[in-house]
Amino acid sequence: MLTVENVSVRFGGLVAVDNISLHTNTDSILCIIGPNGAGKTTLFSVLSGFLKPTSGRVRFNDLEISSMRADRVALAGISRTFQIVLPFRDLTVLDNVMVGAYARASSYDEARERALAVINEVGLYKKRDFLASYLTLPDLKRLEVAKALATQPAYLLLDEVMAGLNLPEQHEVAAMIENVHKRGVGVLLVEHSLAMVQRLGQHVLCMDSGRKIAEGTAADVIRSEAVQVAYMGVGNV
Amino acid sequence: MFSKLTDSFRQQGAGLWLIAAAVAAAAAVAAPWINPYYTRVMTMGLLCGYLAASWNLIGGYAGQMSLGHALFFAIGSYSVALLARLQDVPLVAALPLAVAVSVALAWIIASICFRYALRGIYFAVGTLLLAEIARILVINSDAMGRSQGLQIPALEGARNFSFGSDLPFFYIFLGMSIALALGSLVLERCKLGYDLVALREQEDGARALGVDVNAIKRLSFVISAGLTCVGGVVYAGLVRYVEPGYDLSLTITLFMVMGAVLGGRGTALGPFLGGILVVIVQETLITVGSTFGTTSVSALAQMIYGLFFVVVLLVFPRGIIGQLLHRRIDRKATRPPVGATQEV
Amino acid sequence: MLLTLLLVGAVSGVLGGLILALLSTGFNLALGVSRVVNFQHGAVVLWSMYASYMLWKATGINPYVGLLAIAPVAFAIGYFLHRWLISRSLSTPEDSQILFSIGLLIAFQYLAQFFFSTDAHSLTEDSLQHSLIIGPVFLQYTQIAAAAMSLLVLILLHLMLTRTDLGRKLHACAQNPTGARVAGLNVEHLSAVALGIAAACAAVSGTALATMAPIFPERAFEYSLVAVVVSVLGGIGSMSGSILGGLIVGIIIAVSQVTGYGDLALAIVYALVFLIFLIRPNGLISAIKS
Repeated sequence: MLTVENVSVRFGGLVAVDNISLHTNTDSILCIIGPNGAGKTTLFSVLSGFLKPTSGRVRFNDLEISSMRADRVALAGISRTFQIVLPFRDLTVLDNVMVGAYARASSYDEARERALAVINEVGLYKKRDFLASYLTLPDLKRLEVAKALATQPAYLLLDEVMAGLNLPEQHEVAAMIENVHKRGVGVLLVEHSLAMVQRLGQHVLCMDSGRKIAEGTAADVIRSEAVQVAYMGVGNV
Repeated sequence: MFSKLTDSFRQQGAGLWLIAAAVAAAAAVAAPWINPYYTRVMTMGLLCGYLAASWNLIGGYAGQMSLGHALFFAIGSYSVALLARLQDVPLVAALPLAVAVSVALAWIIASICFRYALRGIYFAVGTLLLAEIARILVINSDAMGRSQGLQIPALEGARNFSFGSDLPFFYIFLGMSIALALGSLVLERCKLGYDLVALREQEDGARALGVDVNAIKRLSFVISAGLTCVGGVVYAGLVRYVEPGYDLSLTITLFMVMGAVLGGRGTALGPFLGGILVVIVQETLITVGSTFGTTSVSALAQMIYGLFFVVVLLVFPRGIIGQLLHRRIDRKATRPPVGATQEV
Repeated sequence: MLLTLLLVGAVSGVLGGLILALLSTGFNLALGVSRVVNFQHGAVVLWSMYASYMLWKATGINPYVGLLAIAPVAFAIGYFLHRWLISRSLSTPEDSQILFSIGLLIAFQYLAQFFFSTDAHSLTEDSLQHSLIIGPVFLQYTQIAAAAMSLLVLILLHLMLTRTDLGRKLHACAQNPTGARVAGLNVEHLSAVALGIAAACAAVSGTALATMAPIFPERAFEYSLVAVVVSVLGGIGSMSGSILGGLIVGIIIAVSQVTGYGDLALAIVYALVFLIFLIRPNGLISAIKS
């Protein structure tokens, strides 16, 4: 169970995240939507330990992770991907994923086995010996997910993993995410693509200017007036 | 352990290692029979390779360019000199003390530097400044021998590395080099090895996968410092003279750094090849220069040595072995996929 | 009295500081514009010292007049050094680039040693061998002339950077090289110009230093390190930063010398700069501005 209690993030005078509370578990996929600059990635950074909240708390089961360092949060079981992918360019796909696998594995053989399994799961098995710098964007996104998955997380935070992909590619990645979720991994997604939100979002939360403006099922949120105005531009002339 | 090595050989090719083993074996057998001048050159070459490989831990795998490693080399050599002069302490007893000091100092330096996120050019110049401060302090200290340096008294016995000839040093450095080369190879496949290259490539990406970046950087810096110190200790046993102008200078640091860069940063064998080449080039230039007699020509040789750095960096930006390995991985990637049967 | 000593140290330090400021400004400018750490800068200073000396030895002309010939040559050397050689190193990994310039430093230093040997040469221009005594303060004409010349060049440089078209273009490159390129600026050419200016400044500094101290090759590394240190202390890419850094370093060195800690002066400077690296890597000038 992942709980966010009244988290705010302020950078000087700018309020990036304004008193957000949410609650999720591994049963449903949580989608966070909202216009650019709404604070979605900032919220993810707080959840994964890359930013400390100015106020409020984040709890993962019984563990208070608000002041934990990013690497410790990852080891605790919350793994994130980055909006702008951060592959280890000079390493092969397999070696990239090995780094993640070694977070939990106690031996080289175990790490390797885990890495290969995850690489296969995301569909990169044929390219396991490719240098990361040679991958196409969809494959880099897959690699990004594979690295995070290899750490055997309880929760996977995917930050705009669909960005830059066309619709068929997005559906492929969505299928992969659904399989991962079926395995029991909790999934939180920051997403822009409404098609993906409708496919994946069992629990949806919309942010605008750092605040939560709607929460519920995908259908509820998309239809809500606040979201229509803020996100879809309805009523703006 | 075994699967680590087999995977490494499959990825890198066992060829280079077989060649290295053959060369090492041949040198080990031939050493007692050849002209002692050449033995001396090979010994210095192995020392340089060993030092380059020690530097490689922080400078290659971790990707943090330290320009102050002379500091740890000098702690090693000066410890032998000072302890021998003051208390007749044998070299083998000075060794653990020197390593302890180096490790402690390295730990402190690394804690400070990485806590304040010194990287890139700031880390390079910062470590250089620390070494320079030490050098200035030594030059102004009578106890440390000022600029003249210190002569190591002729204490007897194997525990002082007093062997009567230089030959045992060749074998000592050969042994140290083989151990470090194999150690580096195994390290590449350990968690520490993966963590190091991950933080080199992408610090935030590494953090997101559970790597404690600052602690790992510090660990590799400390190990590197300790290994470099051991090199300094054995070096002192060989030349029996320590001086700040060499031991604590950018000169010796550049030997280490250029050796690793020329051979290939972040590879297990590269620094050894680079280190040996650097010494061979220097020796050749000095020998050729001295046949002309005048000191001014040896200055010309040094100039060519400087240009050698420049050319190497342009032609082999990844280092010789680094380039070879990169091309090998390249070729593997563009060949049609083998054994794709695990696809669902 | 301590106060007198400190006064002498301060005055001497300001004069020396201006020279160090000029030495570093060129380096700093090139660093800001081209993002290249030109560690060979100290060797360019060294060569300027020798050039000044040779010219003075051969013709007897005041070395500062001789600069009219030497500075343009230095500019050309700096320009083509960047254009033909240093620009090729830009594709190597970032921290290898400093090794490249260290290699150049070694090459230039030993080339100088080859031609001039390790013996010290002294440029003792007669017109400068006087001293000025004001109260307790004792100054050499060499110091005063060197500082005045440095100040003059710094002012000219400042005017050039703030009032001319070239200055604005250099500023643009320093701010955002990609943006500058998109706006049509030839960044390679401008980077080379920056190094040319750096070399010309090195020529002036070299001439000034040659009149004040004996010339020998080992000083090249020291000059390079001082340039780096002053630039970082003051603020990379900032001319006022170089001046501030130069003055601070000059005063520390001078005060150390008059209070008897002269040998450790550089160690003190290095320690201070290391602290700045840790807490204010953007240099003192940014701390003052904010």
